Amino acid sequence: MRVDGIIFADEDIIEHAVNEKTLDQVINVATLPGIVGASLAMPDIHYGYGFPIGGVAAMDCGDGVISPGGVGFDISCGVRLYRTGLFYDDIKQHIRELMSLLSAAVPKGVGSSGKIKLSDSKIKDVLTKGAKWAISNGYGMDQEQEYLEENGFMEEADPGQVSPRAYRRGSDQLGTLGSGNHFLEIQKVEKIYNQQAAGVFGIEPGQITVMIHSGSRGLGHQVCSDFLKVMGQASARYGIHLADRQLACAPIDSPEGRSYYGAMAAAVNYALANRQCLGHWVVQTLQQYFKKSADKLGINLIYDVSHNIAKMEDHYYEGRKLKLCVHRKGATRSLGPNSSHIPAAYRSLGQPVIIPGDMGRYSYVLTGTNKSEQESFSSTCHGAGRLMSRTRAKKTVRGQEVKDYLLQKHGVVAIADSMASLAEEAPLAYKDVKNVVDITQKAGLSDKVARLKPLGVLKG
Amino acid sequence: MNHKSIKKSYRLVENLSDMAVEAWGENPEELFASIGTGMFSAITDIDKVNPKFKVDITLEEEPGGSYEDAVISWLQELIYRFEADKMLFCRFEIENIGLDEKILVKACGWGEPVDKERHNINIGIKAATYHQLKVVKNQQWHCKVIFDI
Repeated sequence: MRVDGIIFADEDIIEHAVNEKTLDQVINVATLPGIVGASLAMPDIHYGYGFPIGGVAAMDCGDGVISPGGVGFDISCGVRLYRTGLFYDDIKQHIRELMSLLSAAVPKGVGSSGKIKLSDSKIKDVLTKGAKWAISNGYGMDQEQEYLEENGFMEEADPGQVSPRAYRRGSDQLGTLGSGNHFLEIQKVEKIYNQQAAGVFGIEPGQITVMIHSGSRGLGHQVCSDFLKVMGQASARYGIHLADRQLACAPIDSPEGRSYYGAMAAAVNYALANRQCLGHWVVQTLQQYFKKSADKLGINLIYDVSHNIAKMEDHYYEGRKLKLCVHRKGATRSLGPNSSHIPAAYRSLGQPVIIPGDMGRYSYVLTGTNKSEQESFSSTCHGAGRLMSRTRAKKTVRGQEVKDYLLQKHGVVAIADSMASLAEEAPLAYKDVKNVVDITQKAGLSDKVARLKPLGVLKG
Repeated sequence: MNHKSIKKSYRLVENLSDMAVEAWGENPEELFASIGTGMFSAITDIDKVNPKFKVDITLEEEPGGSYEDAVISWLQELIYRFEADKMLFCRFEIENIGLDEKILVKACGWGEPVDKERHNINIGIKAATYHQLKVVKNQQWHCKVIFDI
């Protein structure tokens, strides 16, 4: 180990991490060249491949490495949150109907094709411009761009580094939700912890929000797979000893490192455009259902943030300003107040942090803190974290049971493309996100603003 | 030959967060056919996949990799065929595996494109991982592949 491993957790989480051997993954990441500070893990830590999910590793841009395993297969998997001017009483009789309309409007499920067919040159545009491409092609509102992390695109994107296979997989998946843990939720604001921040985000108790959780789909998976192969060969060539082949990496400042960063950034842009299009279908559906414009309905994007990403960032470490490549694999950037990377309207609060939970209990809105800069290279958790394997979840409950349970216990209307997917994603398969969020609050990595309660869930 | 008459030489096993397939065969060719079929059995009920089409799959790569590399390349190819061509396979026949040749795998698969009316798609697979992957030869050839789903 070149540096320490630090896990933000309580005893139960540590015990689980020991049993799962996730601690070994934190240790393995600590062996990578150029890692600065510590190999970190957030309280939603669970077993990943190479890096743990919930892992954060900051690599020195001078002598450090970049690793596709530190980002994960679903590049820029993330979440966006809309507020509406609707309140619970306005929609409580309409949730079932709304969910089935959303289900018809949003392509979902394994290998689903979207309504947008892209030629190679159009994909190149998407990979270059990200959510900006979607907005300028009519999928969204101009004012949304300001509320996207980094204005909705990474300028370092290099579509030339993305393989023809990834292009092919991306040709018909833009604007699709996907499967697995991806979802779309109608929620209500249940509790406010920070009145002032909630006021700035424009939310109050009883208000309706919409959350979308999705990523870069097959295009991103292909980019990661392609570069694991490239990096596997590069690691050997650069004499980097790997404790696990999924940690395959190359120096940041090497042809392979630069290629991966350019391809990853392009996949990030695809994911941002994907969530932008998904958001557009949602807004359109609400407009049609209520026969009012988005303006009249008070629909506005609060924020869109990625959970699986590597970014070149400036951080202070031991009194020195360093340029670091921060890998966040199942972690959210959590910049404190006054950062220029935060939309002007939120700058005094800190970066919005959006944490989806399981389908039954709740999700959270938080803000980034100055302390997270010192403790975790401005990072916090990204979700509840799995407690049970998908296989075990499927053996434990049936999809229909989960559907009934969600309705009876939590009053949540769930619609899914596949009942198996509902069983895999049953709330019992996840940690209680409240506990995860409370730990980040106690550690000072982020500050709670509001708790959101799901009312309707759409699953792939 | 009916694909149902072929002896099953794989099983789905539980993994910490995702899914794994264990497969075996008398030789590397059988092993690769088994692991491919095993993966599709996780995606769908392959008894409902008709071997309507025969698809040739030739995988070219730089020579000199290991069997583990070849397993990952093979499965990544099949994941790609499933997503890009919407193909479901119920059986494979591997003609040749050449670790030291330009053609890594020469095979054919039998199956048909996804028909949403008949095929229930259980999972989406992001990738086959190297995690704990080892191809071993004892009495038989054997491997276990963990998939990120």
